[in-house]
Amino acid sequence: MARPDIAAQVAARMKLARKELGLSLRAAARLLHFNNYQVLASIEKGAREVTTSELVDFARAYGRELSFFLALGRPAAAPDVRWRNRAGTVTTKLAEQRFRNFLEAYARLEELSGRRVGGFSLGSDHEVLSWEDVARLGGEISRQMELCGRPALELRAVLEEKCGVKLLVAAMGSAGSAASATGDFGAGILVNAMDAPWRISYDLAHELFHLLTWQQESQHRDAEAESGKPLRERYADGFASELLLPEGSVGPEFRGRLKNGRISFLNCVELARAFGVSTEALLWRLVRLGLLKKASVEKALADDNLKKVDKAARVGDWANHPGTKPSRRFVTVAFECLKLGMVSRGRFAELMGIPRSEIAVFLAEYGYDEAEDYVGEISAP
Amino acid sequence: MARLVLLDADVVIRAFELGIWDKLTAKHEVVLARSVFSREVRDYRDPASGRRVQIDLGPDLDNGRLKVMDADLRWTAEADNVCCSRLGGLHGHGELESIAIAKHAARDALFCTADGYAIQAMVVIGLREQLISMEKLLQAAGLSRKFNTRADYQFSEAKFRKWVRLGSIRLAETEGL
Repeated sequence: MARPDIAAQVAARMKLARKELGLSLRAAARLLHFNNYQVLASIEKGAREVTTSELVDFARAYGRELSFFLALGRPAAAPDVRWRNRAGTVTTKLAEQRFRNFLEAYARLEELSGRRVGGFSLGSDHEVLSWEDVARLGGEISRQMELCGRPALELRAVLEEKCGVKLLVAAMGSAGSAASATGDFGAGILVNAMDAPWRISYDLAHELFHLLTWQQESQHRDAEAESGKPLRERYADGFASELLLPEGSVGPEFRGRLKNGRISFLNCVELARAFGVSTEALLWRLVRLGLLKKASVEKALADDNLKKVDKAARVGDWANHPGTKPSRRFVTVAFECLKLGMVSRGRFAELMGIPRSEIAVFLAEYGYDEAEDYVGEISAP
Repeated sequence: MARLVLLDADVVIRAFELGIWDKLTAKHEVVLARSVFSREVRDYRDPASGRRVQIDLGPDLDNGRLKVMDADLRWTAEADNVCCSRLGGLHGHGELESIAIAKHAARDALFCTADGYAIQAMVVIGLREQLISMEKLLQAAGLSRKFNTRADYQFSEAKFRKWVRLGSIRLAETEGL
């Protein structure tokens, strides 16, 4: 039996969704292409009822699922999303909401396909109180993740496939550089697709630190914000360097490129590229390892020649950009649900960010065929 | 007399791929949910050239060969609630609005979809009799063709029946909820 008060509930939630984005009536009306804000005002007051299709427009504009407006009861509490360099604009809040939607849908797909949901295998209760702790944690996590000597090259896949971190690479303009979240859905990281590929690897490692120390940061967050000291951010950067530039690999490779006790700018850039990090990150890591002097690095970073060499060499690295293409794991889980009839084709296309007509072509890129029944299995003892 | 048929996005797109859209709308009174019409049926891939071709349904709407319906919020809320509680999966806007229309505004219409989720949802809601596969729809319109390519499989009666069977199992599992 339909509830008589659904229109009132929808109107109230429209207002709530708009306010949570920090949008004025006028700004929201522009976003929704209304000729004037009074139309929106009357919709929010419940004086003018919307159709389903109009509600879909609202849901898209506000970054909400349709069920947020239609579902019975109070809306569920939104999981905490923590940003690095959060711009605090409407674009940021929209990106944050879409990240939450992604995490929840991903977890639901895992559940529907019979996989374990929310398994962040590395734990979020690590304590880091000093730079020594940062170094120790970097080594420990690198061993647990069984990362190779060039961790940036496999970090994304290992985080997702092995550690249960849900990764979203989204074009978010100036909304912020990266964010992380934990909740019933597990752990998730959001990175900006508009950043350079070497920056994305670093952001992933940086955000991983926040996930690992999530519980500790929850306790110290307010004090940290009040004191205005971004120590945790510097710890996160240090952790990213430890993880992506392991001493055992970087040290020997650096020494191998020395000639008469010096390393050329080109070799610095090539070494950074080999490890999938920025040249600046590599140089500071070498300082930290005692292989270069701080003053020499500061001088090099201010040198236009280094910038020129770096810029020219990096052109080809953009070919390795992950783009906004969904990860293989996400596609696999969603495809399993599609085959089970547990996700509709319309929703599948929406989750993958593709037109409805492109499902077959998209799946073929991942090696899947919707027309295949995929029968057959092997019993395990 | 032509029967009213509510089409899901994939069926419309496939009809364009097969070059039978005009014949289909001539033989049946075709209805689309507003969400399907305005957001989901955008283009198709031409089988000969492999190129994506834009779909413009405006002229069909203007000349009355196509009708577009809006679902009342209450119908959609009810369909959303039933799908979530009894089927549990993730549905799209177009499928949800089509199901709501099939239940409340077009009870005499057939709903033609190749979507496994939508077919199961219709069965679980008790609307099995309103479902039809694309293969059967084309046969009924005298547009018989053999469904023997890989792309056709999704739209075949055989695949449709598999989804109906699965929907019946889910209905049996959830009865009493």
